[in-house]
Amino acid sequence: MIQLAIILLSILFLSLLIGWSYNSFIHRKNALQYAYSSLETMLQKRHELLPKLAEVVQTSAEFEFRLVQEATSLLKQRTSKELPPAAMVRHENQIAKSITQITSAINRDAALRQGQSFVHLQKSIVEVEAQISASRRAYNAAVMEYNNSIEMFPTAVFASLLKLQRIDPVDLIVLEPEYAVRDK
Amino acid sequence: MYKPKVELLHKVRPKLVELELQRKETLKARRKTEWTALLLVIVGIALIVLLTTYSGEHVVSALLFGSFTCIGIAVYYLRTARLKAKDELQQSIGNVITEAMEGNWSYKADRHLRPGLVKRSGLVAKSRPIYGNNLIKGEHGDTKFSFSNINISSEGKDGRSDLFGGILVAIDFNKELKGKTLVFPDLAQNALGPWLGKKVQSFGWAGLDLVYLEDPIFEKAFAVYGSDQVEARYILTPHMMSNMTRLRERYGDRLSFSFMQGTVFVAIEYERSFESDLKVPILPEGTFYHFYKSIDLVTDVIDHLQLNTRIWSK
Repeated sequence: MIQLAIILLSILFLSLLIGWSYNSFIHRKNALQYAYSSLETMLQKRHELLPKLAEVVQTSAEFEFRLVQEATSLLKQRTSKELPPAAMVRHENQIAKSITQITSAINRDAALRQGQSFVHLQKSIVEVEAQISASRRAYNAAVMEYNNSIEMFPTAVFASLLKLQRIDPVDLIVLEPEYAVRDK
Repeated sequence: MYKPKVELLHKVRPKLVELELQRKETLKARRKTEWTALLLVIVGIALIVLLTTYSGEHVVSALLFGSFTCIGIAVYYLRTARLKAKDELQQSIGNVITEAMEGNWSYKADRHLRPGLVKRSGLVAKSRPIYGNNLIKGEHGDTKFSFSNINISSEGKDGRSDLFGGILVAIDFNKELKGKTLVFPDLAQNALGPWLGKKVQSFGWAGLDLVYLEDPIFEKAFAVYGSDQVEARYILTPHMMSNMTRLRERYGDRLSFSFMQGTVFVAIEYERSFESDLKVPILPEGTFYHFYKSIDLVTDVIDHLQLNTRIWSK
């Protein structure tokens, strides 16, 4: 009788452990997907800044328009949503570099730099980049939790059964607000 | 506008000297009244003793009853007058100092932050009555703030125990937020160790999830709970985390923070804003100093958190 009770208790304990491990694993997996979606949404906001930058520079006759064309052509290539994370990071970092080149060129042009539309746009850039930075950190934190669950017992058992692998954190470039203006 | 101590003292000194004279006169008058009352009580007792010798029991009982009633009324009157004088002095000192700050500064000795606002902060228990006083509203640079003493206690079988006692500050915050992020001193990890402490914290706080941040010094000092992992990191940038760590180094484990749409709340436990006392001189290091200390503390918190820096528009 005692032996039966021990067996039943062991089965119950094992079932609870499996259930808890599985739920915990699924929770981390979903958290990771959610964090990645948030990151994509924030990057989309960055893409929306490019047409606005193009509007700012169109009044200048001397501006290097090829910079805007290069950035626009990057956007017209495959969207970040279609790419796997590593390729998405490379693609997004190219866009970030393009935006930096455009804003640096604007900063060299006194008339454009002091224009009200560029001043407003700089605030938007600072805001969007702050949100991208937060999303990147949230995603990387979710990656760390996910990788821990893949490599640590007991969730590692499910990970090996489902043939899941480690995910690398993203190394996205976030534009520093060095050219941002202050209200005062 | 906030002013350094020396500049403020230079500006308010003449008016505070007048109030100091007023305080001394009030104190003198109060002592005179108290001595008179005491003398009357002694004379009354002497009369009762004399009458006890020559009169019947009924007369003595009536006299005793009458005497004790008179003493009760006198004590009540003296106590009320003393508190009124103290409150008036406190309000006068506060008025002088807040007027000297210029701009939209105000002081109400008998008011405190609205209970709705205190509860909204999420830093203190929701279902308890809230008491407080010394409400100060002001501006530091472009940043508006208000703060007051707040006391929250619970009545249990073993009597009354304090849940929170200190200053609660509400400061304008210039980031667009949809959720709530709370930052508490990390008492669990310090008491139970990093692994067990984190496990305990992972159950969350009032429906908010634990947010694990990458700055190890900040993580060791604070526990963060938020309704949105991304928004918590949007607020707690590496720069903000290092600012908050510096504040902790300065003021210890007494600070808690709450960020939500339009406002950042900072709770500073065990810190009382100024309380005047008729027996304590106003100048140089008396009531004025206590008042200034609380304003200086709040503006120091605003400076450390760099809430005056606006590189984005609200």
